Amino acid sequence: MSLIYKSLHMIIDMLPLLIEGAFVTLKVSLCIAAVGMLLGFFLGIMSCKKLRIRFIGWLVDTYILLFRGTPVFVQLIATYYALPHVLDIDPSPFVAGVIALGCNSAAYVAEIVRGGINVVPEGQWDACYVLGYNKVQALRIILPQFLRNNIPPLVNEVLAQVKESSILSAIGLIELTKMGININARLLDPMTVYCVIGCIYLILISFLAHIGFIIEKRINGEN
Amino acid sequence: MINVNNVSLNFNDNTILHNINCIIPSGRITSFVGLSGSGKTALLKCITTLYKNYTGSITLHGSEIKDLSPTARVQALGIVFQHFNLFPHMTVLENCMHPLLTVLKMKKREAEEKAKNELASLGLIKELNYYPDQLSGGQQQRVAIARTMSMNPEVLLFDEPTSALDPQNSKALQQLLLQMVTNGTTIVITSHDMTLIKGLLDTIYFFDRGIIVESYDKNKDELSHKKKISEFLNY
Repeated sequence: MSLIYKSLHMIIDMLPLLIEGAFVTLKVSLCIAAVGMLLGFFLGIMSCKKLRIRFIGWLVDTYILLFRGTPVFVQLIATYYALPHVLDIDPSPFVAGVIALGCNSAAYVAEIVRGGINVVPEGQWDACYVLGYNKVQALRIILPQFLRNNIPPLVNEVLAQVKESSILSAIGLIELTKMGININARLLDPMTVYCVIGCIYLILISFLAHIGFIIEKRINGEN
Repeated sequence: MINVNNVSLNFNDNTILHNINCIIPSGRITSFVGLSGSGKTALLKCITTLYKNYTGSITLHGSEIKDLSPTARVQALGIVFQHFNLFPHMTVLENCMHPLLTVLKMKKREAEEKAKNELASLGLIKELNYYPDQLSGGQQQRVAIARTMSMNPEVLLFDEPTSALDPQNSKALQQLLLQMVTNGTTIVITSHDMTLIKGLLDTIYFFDRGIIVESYDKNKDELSHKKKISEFLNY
């Protein structure tokens, strides 16, 4: 009984710090998702078969190969430690994390977008063409159709970024995991600390998954 | 009048069309008939410039169709596809309004009025807020016709218009096409539906493996002298 009381007391004590870390996780994840979505959509559109321009297509393929073919941890370390040397800038852990994980996420989003646009029936592009739409105007017809079928994989990508943001602890960003590591170093009770962290991640993911579900229903015109 | 001169089309090493020559007269119905894969739809796609890699020339009143601007092209030619290709995420009214707003840059009110008029003339005024998947095949086709007609094209092309329709809707379509021709629209149809072609009997080109092997003009020819076409129609 006293063990449970001790654990509860410990949880109540560390909760404010973990919630602070959770907000940093949420903030950095949303920034990563924004970079990933914007860049990923651009790359995916540029590489879909209807809009692909050979040279740009090759560049996009190389980008995707590079970011999907190397560990995200390597990309993070390279961004954080190489950028100051290469570009003479000194990014904070937050900025370096958003750049590295955002660019990594963009490679996966680009593949979702490319594949999703490619399976929109050819007849839709033909209809746009014969009605006089240019390619940008045609995208305004094609993208909503792509979104109808592809909200779940895009939401998955955002959720993956929330969990993946925990590796930003390696470059010193005090997000949820790093906060937990710090607390554990003081309390030396990994079981309790990491269980609570796990629960907070679960709540965050459930919250974002629910938002994704609402967006999906809205786009598909359901109530 | 559309003039098709020495048009050939190849994909990889396959010849799809070989030296096609034909005339599509204004204000009449021209039918391209023949078996599946004979090149009817390919020629339709060349005329609408969906296929641009053909050799030869296709002209409308002497101007090369390939060289027309998109706006000039949509006001010259409209096509109703075999599977209609309506935009599934838009209502019937939005399907008809969107090209008017986007391509012809009409004002919203003007576009809505134009679209409603076209839809009303085709008996679709009650279905304005329906989505394409809530409509029958015949209704979807009429929406596609209204969408194309709202751009005021001079020539209206139909690719296998009865392939997704029941006999009753096919008959209704035939009446509609005859009415459109009476109103001065030029119509081009690809079909292997002999009932439809019999009902529209005007100018016919018979395709076989990418070549026009026989042609018929009701003002010049006797149908009984056209062996392949009369065989096709009486099959």
